[in-house]
Amino acid sequence: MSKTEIDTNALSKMEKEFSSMRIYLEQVLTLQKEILEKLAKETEKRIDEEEDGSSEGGLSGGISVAVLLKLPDHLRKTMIALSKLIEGRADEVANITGRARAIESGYLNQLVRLGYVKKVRRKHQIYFAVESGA
Amino acid sequence: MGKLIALHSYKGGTGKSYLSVNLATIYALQGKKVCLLDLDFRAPTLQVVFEPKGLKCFLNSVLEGTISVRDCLLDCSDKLENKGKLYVGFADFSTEAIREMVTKGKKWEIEALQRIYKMRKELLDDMKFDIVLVDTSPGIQYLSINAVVASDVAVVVSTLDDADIMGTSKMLKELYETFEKETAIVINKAIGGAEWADPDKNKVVEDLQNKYKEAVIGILPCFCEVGRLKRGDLFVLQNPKHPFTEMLRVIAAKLDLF
Repeated sequence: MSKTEIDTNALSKMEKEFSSMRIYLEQVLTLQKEILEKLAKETEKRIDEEEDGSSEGGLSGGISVAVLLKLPDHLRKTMIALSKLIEGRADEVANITGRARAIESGYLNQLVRLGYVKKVRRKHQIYFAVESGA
Repeated sequence: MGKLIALHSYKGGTGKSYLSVNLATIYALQGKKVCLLDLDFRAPTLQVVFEPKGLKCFLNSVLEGTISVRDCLLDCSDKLENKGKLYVGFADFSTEAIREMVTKGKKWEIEALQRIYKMRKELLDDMKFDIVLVDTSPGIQYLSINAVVASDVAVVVSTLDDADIMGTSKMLKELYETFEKETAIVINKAIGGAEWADPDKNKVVEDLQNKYKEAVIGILPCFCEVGRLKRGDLFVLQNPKHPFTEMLRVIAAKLDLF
């Protein structure tokens, strides 16, 4: 077997491996997206149930230890980080939590939908702030 | 960037206030700009140590949102013979104020968490304190948990009493773990601890770390001379070479690493 044939075979093998890796990564991304959507829905459902049931630890008076304890772990971490900043961007929150900016952006938007955080736009930049007495 | 350290315990009488005052002194003597806050509104202590004269403003008002924390800090550096910078925020120690704090409702406590975060930002970002030490009430109470949640590091002070160990383990597991809090354990008033050889001490540390699942950063033996000295006579200042002071210096250095 000549050197060129070996190189061609190796290249074709690598291409196949890259292709299967790409498919695998796409599947992981799709699953991740589904999980995030499910978590967001579940959180909103839980908060809705709390609002219907009792005001204890609900949205009536802003963020509290009781509310923090009821938030799922991933959102609690984001909320605590934002509380330290009082107001900040997703990348600043990511610096505190050690997670990716895009992930924190997603979580902060979930907290906005839940009514714990408000969004403020300043010169093309989005800031998030803890709702006081949401 | 400075650091907010909350001192907390499951049971009362573990020596939180004593340790917070002496730790603050050690940090200040090291040249750090230190702020010590008394958030133990149910049993305030710092007024006994620093004997503030004509104090009109307390941390109670900061948590009510009527004043800024900057306005109620008192420069107590003279207590350290001006060898360091130490500012202190006092809790109102009048009976009426303590009674009022005990009867605060949930709404107030919710607002208090937001104000503690605001206070933290003002002290660390605006006033540039290197260390803010917060002395809290023992047990699982909203106000103490608020301070723990807003802190960078929580120091849990425990004794070797079985009930304290059991309660502290439960509190760490059910509360601190939930908040993923950076936690350090200090064992105080260890009876007989001064006579322990290193292997005995290591065994105690290992046993407790297994129980607490957190780092035990120091064991302070029960020294009669520590208990004998009045709170106002800052022990570490008066006794810089005493083993208690040396051990507290090690604890302060370990907390720097968090």
